[in-house]
Amino acid sequence: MIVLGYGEEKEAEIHVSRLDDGANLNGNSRIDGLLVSRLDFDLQILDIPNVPEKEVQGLIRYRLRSIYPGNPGETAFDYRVESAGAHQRAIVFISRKAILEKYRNAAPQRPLFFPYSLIEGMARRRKDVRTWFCHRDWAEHSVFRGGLLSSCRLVRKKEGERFDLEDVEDTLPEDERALPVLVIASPAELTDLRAGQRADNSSDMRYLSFQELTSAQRRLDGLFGEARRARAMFTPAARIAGLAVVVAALGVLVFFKHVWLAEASCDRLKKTHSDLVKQSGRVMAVQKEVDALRAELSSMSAEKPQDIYLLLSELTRVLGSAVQIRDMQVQGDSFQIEAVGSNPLKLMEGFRDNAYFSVVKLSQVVPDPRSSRERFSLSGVFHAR
Amino acid sequence: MPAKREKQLLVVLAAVICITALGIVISLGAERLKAARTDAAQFRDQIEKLERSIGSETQAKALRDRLHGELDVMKTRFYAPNEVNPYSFGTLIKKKLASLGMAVVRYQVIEVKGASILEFSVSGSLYSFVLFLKEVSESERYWTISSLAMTTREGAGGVDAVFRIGYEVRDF
Repeated sequence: MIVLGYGEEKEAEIHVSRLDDGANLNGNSRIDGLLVSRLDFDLQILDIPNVPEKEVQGLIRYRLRSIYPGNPGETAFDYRVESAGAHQRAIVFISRKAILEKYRNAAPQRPLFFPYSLIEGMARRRKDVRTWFCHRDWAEHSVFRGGLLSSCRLVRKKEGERFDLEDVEDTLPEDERALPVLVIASPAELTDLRAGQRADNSSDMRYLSFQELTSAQRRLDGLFGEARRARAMFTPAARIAGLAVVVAALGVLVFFKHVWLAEASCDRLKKTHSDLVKQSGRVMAVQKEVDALRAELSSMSAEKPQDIYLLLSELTRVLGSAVQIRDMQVQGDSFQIEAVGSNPLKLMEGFRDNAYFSVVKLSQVVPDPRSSRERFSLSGVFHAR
Repeated sequence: MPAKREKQLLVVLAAVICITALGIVISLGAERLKAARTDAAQFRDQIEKLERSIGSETQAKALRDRLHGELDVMKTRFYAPNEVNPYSFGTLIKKKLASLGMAVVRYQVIEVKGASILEFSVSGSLYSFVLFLKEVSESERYWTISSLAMTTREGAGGVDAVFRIGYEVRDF
């Protein structure tokens, strides 16, 4: 909860009390902000053209001369710009510099507030509403239309007299009185105001204590403070430049993330390639070994002796059991046989498709007059290593 | 007014520096990106080629082991130097022929191209001689019949044969 103090000038000094219960506060008491007395500060509403923010201050300073009677050199002001569409309005808070300095000294490092600072958020949400902010010595009547402050009127209370809100209400223009009203005051004054309300009063009137009002505050937008100046340092151009820098930085980061991903992908491919090259080396070494083994096997196979038994077996298979080998000569891979059998020309066909034999020639065929068989000789080369 | 002008110039200078720095950074990044993409494309290409060219390492090793096995088996069939001499080999063959019922008519050790081989002249049944040839073929060591001349005797199933037999020696 925000603790607000209330300051007012008494005997050339600023006296500080609690806003909600009016209790006196010494200098060590902790407060979150100080509500200034409306009797010491003025508020003006200026319609201003739609100019850049940096030019608003100069414009107000210029216009101030015609609306505030004080010496411009001794006058301090702060402002808030409200805008709705093309319409722009400045709420100007004005004080004499000497008084402002006293308030600042009374609550060092604490922000200063107007009633406007406390009610504008609420009014902005309700759009068309008016408020009575009633303090012991004064009451401020603010009218908000479309959420914007359209008029603000200060009523000084007469010392020793009861403040009759109904009488003051009667003096307000008809169109203002038609708006719902929110009355803000201390609990004791609220009781008095409720008691004084006429029975035939039909206006939509609601009551809110200072405590309830401060409880509803989430953020304090102090006036005449350093924060305002610091914020003003960030001009729209600076903000756009800052945003551009942030966007550019993000863009560069996104771009470099892309670069880093591509490089990481490239590194992975490089590693895969390196692994494959190593594997290729290993396979090539094994392949060389295999080639050497094949060569050695081939060399040893060449030394393998001719298998005469296999030659005989194959000859028997090709020639058949009806053929009788009479004579046989083998020299290395070459062979020559003399045999007796039937139709040796047909038998020769058996050698043609046999991979074991090559260059098989039938050299001589002599029919045997004693039988139907023929005596023949054939020669060839046998491959069975 | 000059201060405002200076401020404007400073802002322009800062903007130019920022844009230049940004341009340099993006240019460097673009170069890195381009290099990474080019390298990646080359690596992909080479990987594809390597994957195509490299056969299975497991298959190559299996083939190598199989060939090793074949070679080892083949090596055991050769005589080592000095493991056998023509005389002991001749005795062995003579015994083998005798055990099969073949009669050795004549035998001699001859030198052919510096190697000693045995020439046998035998006679006997054709069946026994074929069995002898089978044993030579299936012997644990390589025995070589470099020449053979055989004549079958008609009707009796007998055979007269002259053959030259040797053995294979290899120094591993």
